[in-house]
Amino acid sequence: MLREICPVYKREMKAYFSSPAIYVALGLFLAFVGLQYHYIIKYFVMVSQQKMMSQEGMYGGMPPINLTEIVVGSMFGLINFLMLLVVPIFTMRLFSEEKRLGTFELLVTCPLRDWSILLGKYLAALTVGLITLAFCLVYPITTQYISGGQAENSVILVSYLGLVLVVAAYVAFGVFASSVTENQMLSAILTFVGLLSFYLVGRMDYGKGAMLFGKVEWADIFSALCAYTHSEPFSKGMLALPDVAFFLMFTVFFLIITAKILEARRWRV
Amino acid sequence: MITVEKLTKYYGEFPAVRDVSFQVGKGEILGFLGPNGAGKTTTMRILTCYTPATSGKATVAGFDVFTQSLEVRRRIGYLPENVPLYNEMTVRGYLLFMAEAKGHRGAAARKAVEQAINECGLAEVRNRLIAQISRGFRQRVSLGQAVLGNPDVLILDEPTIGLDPRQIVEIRNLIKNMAGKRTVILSTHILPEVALTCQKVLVIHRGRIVASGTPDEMISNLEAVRQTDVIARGAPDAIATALRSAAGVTNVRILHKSPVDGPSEFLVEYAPGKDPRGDMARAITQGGHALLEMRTRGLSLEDVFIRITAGEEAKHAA
Ligand SMILES: Nc1ncnc2c1ncn2[C@@H]1O[C@H](COP(=O)(O)OP(=O)(O)OP(=O)(O)O)[C@@H](O)[C@H]1O
Ligand SMILES: [Mg+2]
Repeated sequence: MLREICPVYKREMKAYFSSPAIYVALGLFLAFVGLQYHYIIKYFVMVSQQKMMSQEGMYGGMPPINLTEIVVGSMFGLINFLMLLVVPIFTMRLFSEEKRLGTFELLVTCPLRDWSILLGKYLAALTVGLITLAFCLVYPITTQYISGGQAENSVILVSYLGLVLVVAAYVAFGVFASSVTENQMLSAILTFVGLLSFYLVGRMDYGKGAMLFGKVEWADIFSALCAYTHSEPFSKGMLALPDVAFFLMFTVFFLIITAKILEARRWRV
Repeated sequence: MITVEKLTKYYGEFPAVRDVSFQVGKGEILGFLGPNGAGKTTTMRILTCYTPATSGKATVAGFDVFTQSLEVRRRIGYLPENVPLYNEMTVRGYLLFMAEAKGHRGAAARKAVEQAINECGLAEVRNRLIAQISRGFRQRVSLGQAVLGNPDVLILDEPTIGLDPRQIVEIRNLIKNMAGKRTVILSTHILPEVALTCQKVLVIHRGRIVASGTPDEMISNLEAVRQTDVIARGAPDAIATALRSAAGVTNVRILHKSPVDGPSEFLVEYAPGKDPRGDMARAITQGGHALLEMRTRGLSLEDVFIRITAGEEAKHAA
């Protein structure tokens, strides 16, 4: 299996770094995150100053301010959201381009199992996603450096682990979307819209009391399916099994669906 | 090496391939001939396990294309008709990737690539980006990819399309040299190509096999009469009478009558089974005339093809 995955993975990685799309996406992403980091720090400094003044002055009752919560939490939320925009760019090419060029025909008539092709491509896109996250390590390091290590390392660690899970799941969805269309643009849009739906689905107001089969509240179902609901606890340093399981299952689910789509070509109808 | 039995493929309601059966022995070169939309590519896609057949059976080297797809794919080199390539790769990089995808590793993969580069004349473009090479070279890179690692079976969908005449000859020779070593199926619209490279021809039309055999067999099966042009000097009418006397001759027409006893031209028809040419020559000289030239008009594969497909069209219309 690994023998088959390896060439596909290597070719994908080369393809990524020989196309400008990835540099543009990565560049914009990092520039935007950097800018936001600057504002978050500024905001933090501002509230700390207010707090300091308030302790001397009249507002004695302001809640304590927490570096971890403000900086690490906001950065997590920001990166989590931006991944909705960046992942589609990483995954749009994978199957769509091969189908459009016709190289798909040649690839699947090589002695490679569908799963090897799928995993080769998935792992390549995941690698690019993880490289993106690796660049973001600059921010916790900077934060710890300038604050003298005041942010909680455990929270940073869990947030990061959470982001890895989130990216793994998003990439799986993107791979799926690229397997259903020959059009890269459509594949990217499908990925973005699909992921955004999963991101927002639990946060809408469906009205109280809407029930399924008179037993379960719709709102509960939707929040159980919601990527945001499941990722938010990571930013608080909480690593709960249901949240981890959600992202792992999400990943596996979309990989299996994609494998079925690839396999469907060979079904006799 | 390849057996196909009653293969049928429907795209929805549309039958692209109907009841196709044939066999190709080891080392044989089989040509698929047919007009656009005949079902050549579809048949090849079934053999390469890209698409399943709706019904029927096909095996490559004893392995079923439907149930033992991986084994079949290990033994096949395939050149798809639209020459798909990754533009961002170099020629060598691409071939190396394909060699690895076909299961070759390390030194074995590099050796297979070098062989393919030599065999397909790719040395001068080996380090160029595929995006920057010409159509003919793209075709060759694609062919190089198909022959990587010496597969037992080569399936080539229109291998010479888009090449210049010199390259066409080179590629044909390349394919011809494979005869005996590899089993090849190639499709084409170009008839001389089949006559030049293939031992066996299948003509498909509207998804059905309408004729098969060696190029010569197909031609002789189709000929109702043979025609021979004769040029002789002497009295035209006397020569015509002499020609008619030869056994097997069914008809003689005078195409050109020389006013003085110069060279006249005749068209002699006879049944394909008989060969009265010797008798014809004797009759002319014994009558005191001079035989200047004699040439048999052969049906070309073009004629055969046009007749077969036109016949099918007529049947279809009826
Ligand atoms: N994916 C598909 N979906 C529906 N119909 C198809 C599909 N592929 C091919 N066909 C139809 O099947 C028929 C046979 O097509 P095929 O490509 O096998 O012909 P061909 O002999 O290779 O023709 P050409 O010489 O033009 O390459 C055509 O009428 C075509 O329209
Ligand atoms: Mg075709």
